[in-house]
Amino acid sequence: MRVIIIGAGEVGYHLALFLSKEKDVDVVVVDIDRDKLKRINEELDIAVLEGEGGSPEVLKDAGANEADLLLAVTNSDEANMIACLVAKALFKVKRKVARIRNPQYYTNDILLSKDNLDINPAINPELESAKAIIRVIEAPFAYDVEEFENGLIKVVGFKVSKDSVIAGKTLKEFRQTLKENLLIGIIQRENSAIIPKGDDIVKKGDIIYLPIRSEDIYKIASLFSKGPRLVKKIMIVGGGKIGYMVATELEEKDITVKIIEKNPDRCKYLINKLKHTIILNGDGSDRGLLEEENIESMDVFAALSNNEELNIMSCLLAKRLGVKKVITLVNRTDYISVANNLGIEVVISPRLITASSILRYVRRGDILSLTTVAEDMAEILEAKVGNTSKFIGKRLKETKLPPSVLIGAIIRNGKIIIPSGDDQIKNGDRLIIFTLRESIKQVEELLI
Amino acid sequence: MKWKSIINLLGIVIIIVSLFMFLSAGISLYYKEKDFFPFIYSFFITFASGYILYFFTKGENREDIRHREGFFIVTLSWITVAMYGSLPYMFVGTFDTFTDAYFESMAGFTTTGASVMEEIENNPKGILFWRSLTQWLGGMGIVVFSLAILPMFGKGIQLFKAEVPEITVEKLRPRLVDTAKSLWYIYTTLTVLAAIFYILGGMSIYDGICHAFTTLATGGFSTKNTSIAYFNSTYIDIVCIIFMFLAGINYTLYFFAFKGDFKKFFKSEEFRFYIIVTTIAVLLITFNIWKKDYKSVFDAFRYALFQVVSIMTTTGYATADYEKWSFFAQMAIITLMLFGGMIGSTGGGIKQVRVLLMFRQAYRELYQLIHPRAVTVLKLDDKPMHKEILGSVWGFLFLFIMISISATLIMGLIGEDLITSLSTVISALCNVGPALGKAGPVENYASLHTLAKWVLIFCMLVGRLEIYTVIILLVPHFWRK
Repeated sequence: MRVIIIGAGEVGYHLALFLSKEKDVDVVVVDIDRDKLKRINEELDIAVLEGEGGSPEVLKDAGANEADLLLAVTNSDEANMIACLVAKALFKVKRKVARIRNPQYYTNDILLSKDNLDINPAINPELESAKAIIRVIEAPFAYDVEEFENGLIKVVGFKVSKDSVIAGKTLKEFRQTLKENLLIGIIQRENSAIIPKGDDIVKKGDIIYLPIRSEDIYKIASLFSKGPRLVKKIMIVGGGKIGYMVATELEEKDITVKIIEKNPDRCKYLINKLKHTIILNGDGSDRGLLEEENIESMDVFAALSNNEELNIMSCLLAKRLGVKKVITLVNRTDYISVANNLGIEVVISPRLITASSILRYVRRGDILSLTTVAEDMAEILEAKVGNTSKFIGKRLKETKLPPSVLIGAIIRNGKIIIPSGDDQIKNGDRLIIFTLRESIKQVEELLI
Repeated sequence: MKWKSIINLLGIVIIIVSLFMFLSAGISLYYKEKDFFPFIYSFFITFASGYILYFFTKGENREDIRHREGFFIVTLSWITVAMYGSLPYMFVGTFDTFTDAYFESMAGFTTTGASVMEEIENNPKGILFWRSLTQWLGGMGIVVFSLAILPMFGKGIQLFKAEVPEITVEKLRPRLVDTAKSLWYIYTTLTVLAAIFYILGGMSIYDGICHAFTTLATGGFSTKNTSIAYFNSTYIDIVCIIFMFLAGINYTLYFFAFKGDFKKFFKSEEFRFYIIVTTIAVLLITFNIWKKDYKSVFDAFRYALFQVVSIMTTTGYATADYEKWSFFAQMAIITLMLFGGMIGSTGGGIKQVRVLLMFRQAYRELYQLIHPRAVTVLKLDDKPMHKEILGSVWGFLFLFIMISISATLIMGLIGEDLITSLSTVISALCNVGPALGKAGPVENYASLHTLAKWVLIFCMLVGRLEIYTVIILLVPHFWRK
């Protein structure tokens, strides 16, 4: 299939990086900035085209006539919408995905509907990031939280500490000590991802991902983590779009929020908009200010400003001053692993989140949602079993899945089954599938 | 330098070349000639060394190839492949010295077609087939060929760029592997067509295939002592002219034509320029040699046309001894060598588009002197040219001139005369083949001094890889960490 990406910025770059690894996807990236194209062209095996993404001529040169998917991810909402409109009107491109920030457009269903712009879906990186941050704040014991089925089921990543009950045990041994049926979907170990089998040993330092029913989350969390159960107090550095969205959401949940914002005008805006959040005018890396505001009693410290270097620095400072859980916002993907190595547990990258949420539109089969974990090496996806799928009627034991694929949960009529080998798959089921990147093709084949 | 990856890729390229030696062995077997075993030996040595290199370095993550490695692998591949390519000549005993065998092999792979072979027709058919085949392989590029058939080459964009020049950046298809495949598909189709037309004109199947190989590669090796003139047929001359001309056209245009978009042909300013240069050169030379050398205007036109196309596309076949023509015609021939084929074709030389851009740039400078405040832009195909590209063309031109001068000076030191030195250096740099003086269209390079041959081998390699890829290895910075 042919995919046209408008915009060669970080989001565009990441999408292209993802897609160029897919076997039968041809990628063309369009941008007006020659230097950005140069970088992308040198690093990835794709085609680039210099020009305005909304120009019919440029789109034609990019092969829009045969394109199946258009991803408009420039910085400008308007440019993205125009590109989608041109692609729809002149080239009949089936699916158009746009990055749209302005909530006035974003929330306007009529504007985005099939009859008008026909953008499906509109993706708002700031909103997606805010959601991800809130998910982590709600589960402070976790390393990473992904939601499926409107939050009915979560996939939670835990970091295995050395005194954890599971460290040094095989999965079989561990399961025997429990009453519940528990399943580990992916183990991330240093620079690799493993889909575990019964006799794999979990080591300290691993990150394990488990599918968990939402109601069981605290019960299971207590097995793996001794961290705080609930967040009461949080300090946010940077009152930009993301910081503001996070604060609004947290106010509803009765969490005390303090925002440190440098720009006095922005502070005024925030104080007008927010209800009981404490707004502080100052620098997030100012030790005196942090101490004055009792940083040591905060449950979470989140650095969400636009300055990523500053975010990392203030997180390190907060850690030293005694905060258990720090979250940092980073745009450049080069910084993610650096931040992780420095001991910052949660690193949120809006661009990466956007890219991975778009990835599902490239997959064949009825993929309801998809997320990448373990530095893109593994994917967790929720998919509907197609009518002609080879899965139907089989017990999991009998399905010939490659060893790097695991079915983590079956959702049937709103009920969640954490499966064992004897469970059957039926028509209409939805599956939560853990897979390594290299086996994604086999998964697709099994689904359709 | 990522040595493991470099050696690994080199191993693969060598293995691929060895398979073509095996093919040549098949030809020898078919004609029941004595060169069958030499080919089998060469095949085994080449295959084994390629496999050893490949085997002991496999498993390394090949993604980490960067620009530097790209330049290095490509240059190294060409040097090494030419070396293995000379094995059959050595085993058969075609030449007395290694220098000659390597010269012939390099002239083959770089599609120069400068030969040191004295009595061509006395050689076994297998050897002559191999000689033509080396040109065909080199025509589109060995590394590009490897990319086309082996997706395991990884992303390879750096390799591709090192072998295919920058102005052709327009990748035909988003995937590199697909682009490489498309290029080879077009190339093979044209070769098959040429072979069919040659055979219809009375060439034997063997001669037809060999000549098709060297025509489309703009190589110029022939299986006959007197080159195309041997056939002495207007039909074959015409077929040859057409296919040489086609081989000198940018393959991007074919790609779009195959998809049904013929407009690109007429929109391409380089293509127009290519036609104009050919026309002017043919007319001037025709009138210059008419009456003096040929009685009928038709003959003058026929030989002028053939020679102009053959030299300008840097093929180097001969139907006439242009050394007997006037000084004007000879100088025109040398000038045409410099023009070369279009960019993205199999032809060598400076390339039409570079010359065209330099003309426009020079005009723009003059215009700017007249109107100091004028705002100007240099366009090609209605698109403004970026400064970087113009800079790279200037750099190319300067290096081209410097290398020509230095190489000529060295040839002079070795003791060759001026006409021979200058013309062979230009001919080698432009991958043409025939030159003037001692290496004219009816003589060959055998009588040159051994050292002079090595200078020319270097020129052929530099010219084929469009200068930057080889010369960059001589820059000290390249080797610093």
